[in-house]
Amino acid sequence: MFSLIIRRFLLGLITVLGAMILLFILIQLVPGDPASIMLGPRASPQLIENIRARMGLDQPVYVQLFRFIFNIFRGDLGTDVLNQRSVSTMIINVLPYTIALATASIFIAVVLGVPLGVYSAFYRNTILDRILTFASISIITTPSFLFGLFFLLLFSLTLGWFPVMGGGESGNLLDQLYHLVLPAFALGIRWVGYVARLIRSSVLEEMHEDYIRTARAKGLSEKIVISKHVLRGAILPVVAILGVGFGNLLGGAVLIEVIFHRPGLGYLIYNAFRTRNYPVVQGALVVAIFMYAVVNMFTDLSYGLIDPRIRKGE
Amino acid sequence: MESKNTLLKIANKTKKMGKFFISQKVFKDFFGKVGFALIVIVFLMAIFAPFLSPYDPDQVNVINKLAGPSRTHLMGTDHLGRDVFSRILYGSRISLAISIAAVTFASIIGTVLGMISGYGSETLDHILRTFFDIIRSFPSLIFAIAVIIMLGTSGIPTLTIVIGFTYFPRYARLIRAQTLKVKKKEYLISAKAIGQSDIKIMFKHILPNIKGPMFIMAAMDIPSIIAFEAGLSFLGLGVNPPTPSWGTILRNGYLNIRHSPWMVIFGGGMLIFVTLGFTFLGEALRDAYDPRLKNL
Repeated sequence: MFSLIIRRFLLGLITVLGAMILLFILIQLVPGDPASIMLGPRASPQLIENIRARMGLDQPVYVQLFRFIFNIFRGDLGTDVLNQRSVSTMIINVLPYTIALATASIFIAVVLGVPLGVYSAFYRNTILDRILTFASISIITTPSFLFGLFFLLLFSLTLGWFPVMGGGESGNLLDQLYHLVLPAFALGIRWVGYVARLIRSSVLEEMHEDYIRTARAKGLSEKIVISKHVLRGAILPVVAILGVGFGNLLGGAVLIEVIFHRPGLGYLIYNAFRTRNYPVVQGALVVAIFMYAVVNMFTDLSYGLIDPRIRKGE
Repeated sequence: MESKNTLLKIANKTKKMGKFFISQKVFKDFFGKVGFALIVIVFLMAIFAPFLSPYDPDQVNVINKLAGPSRTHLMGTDHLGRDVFSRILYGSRISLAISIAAVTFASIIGTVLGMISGYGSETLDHILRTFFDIIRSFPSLIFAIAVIIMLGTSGIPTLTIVIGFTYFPRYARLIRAQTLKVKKKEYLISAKAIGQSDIKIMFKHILPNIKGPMFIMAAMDIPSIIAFEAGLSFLGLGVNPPTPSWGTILRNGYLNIRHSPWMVIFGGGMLIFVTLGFTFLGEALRDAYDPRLKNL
């Protein structure tokens, strides 16, 4: 298990480093000089030169790359050139909102998806199962920002049950939860469908395994067979897909945060690119990539914890 | 000679039968039929958009802006008084064009790199796999947003390339795994033994044996790419105005949602309609071809 952790960690590190280099190359591809784009056409050459020096743009490319990566690992993501705020602070301020949104969505997906999937599997090929299958396919294919738009239209604007925008008053937990409900459902509802389908097919597969028959033969109650034996094997693919899904959630979160005017990493990126605030875009992207890599790493490692067969196989 | 011809004939026949068998199965499936019908409708909409649309999609009429559905404007008008129905018809062209082009782009790059990775030397395999992992380590929508912002341009070619690029590692990994499976087969070893070049082996012997799963993955990716493009356009990073696209219709609908919900309702409805159609057909195709690919 230990060597597995080390190996996975190294792979994660290489991926993150590679992603940083790719990001750096992308930044180099920006047409025109970032300093003059940011300052607009009326800036004096003197001012442009100053900003260039401050951003380190007058250095050779490899120095810039080295500095770029070095600074990231020091936790310094640069400063917002427009009003001198530290990008790291800006991100730390909004990050909890995005993490809350993603976590709440995954929570909704698991809490609703797992029982629906198990139910579907046990009553397979009945009318209810078919309806559930059809509903989950329809939910999965619908882009999450459409759910955002429809929810906003129905529950906020027409019915007035939920707030239209914002992340809630800071410090007021209840208000923040109230503001979280619609965005989290909008983002998570597709994953309810995914999880339900996945659980259904893996429960069906697991039920034919020998050890399930053994468990039944031992005289265990059906409840225990399902919760302790079937689900334990069936949950593995769900863990896998949630790890992959986290990246998807981050992407979807951009749209959801924009729709609900909710503070967060995605909304920060969106606003930063509209004002051509490249350091902020960069910093937020770095954090997004990093989070994605960390979650993927933990997903891979959690296989080993849930399924001893994988640990032994190593 | 004689026997070779008969063999060829039999081979051809089984190939045709296989195709027929798959199509039979697809159409036997209820969802497969529905999906096929939905897609045919969308393609007809795209092809005959100029004949079907009652108005010029770009014709501005500010006096009649944000109107609800009526007999003159089936789906109402947008914030500039343009006919939403006509714009949705023309928008289907953008959605289909970009998604099909992007999926083609992704599958071609993915196939070539995946085959090289699976067939080539171990070092090359390691390098390529790390490269795929790096691309995959970007959350795809955020990656696309970053590239489009950095490049500073958006338009159909940029969107196609960017979306294709974010999707190709999926194909590369699939094709790599398939190649590894085929690599050990006797016919490849004998092809190598008679001295055929690596490129010929890859394209003549490996490719025909691994293309099935690739096509299915492509069919199943189209709806997600359509949604992806709509999302980018919704953020204002998609096709340039005034070109009608479903994403921009939704964007305009969202910006005016307090005055008129119709653009969001119809634009969103259309998006659901199409993605559902492609998904149904893709799943039916997959189940008919090989049910084991379910976790693709």
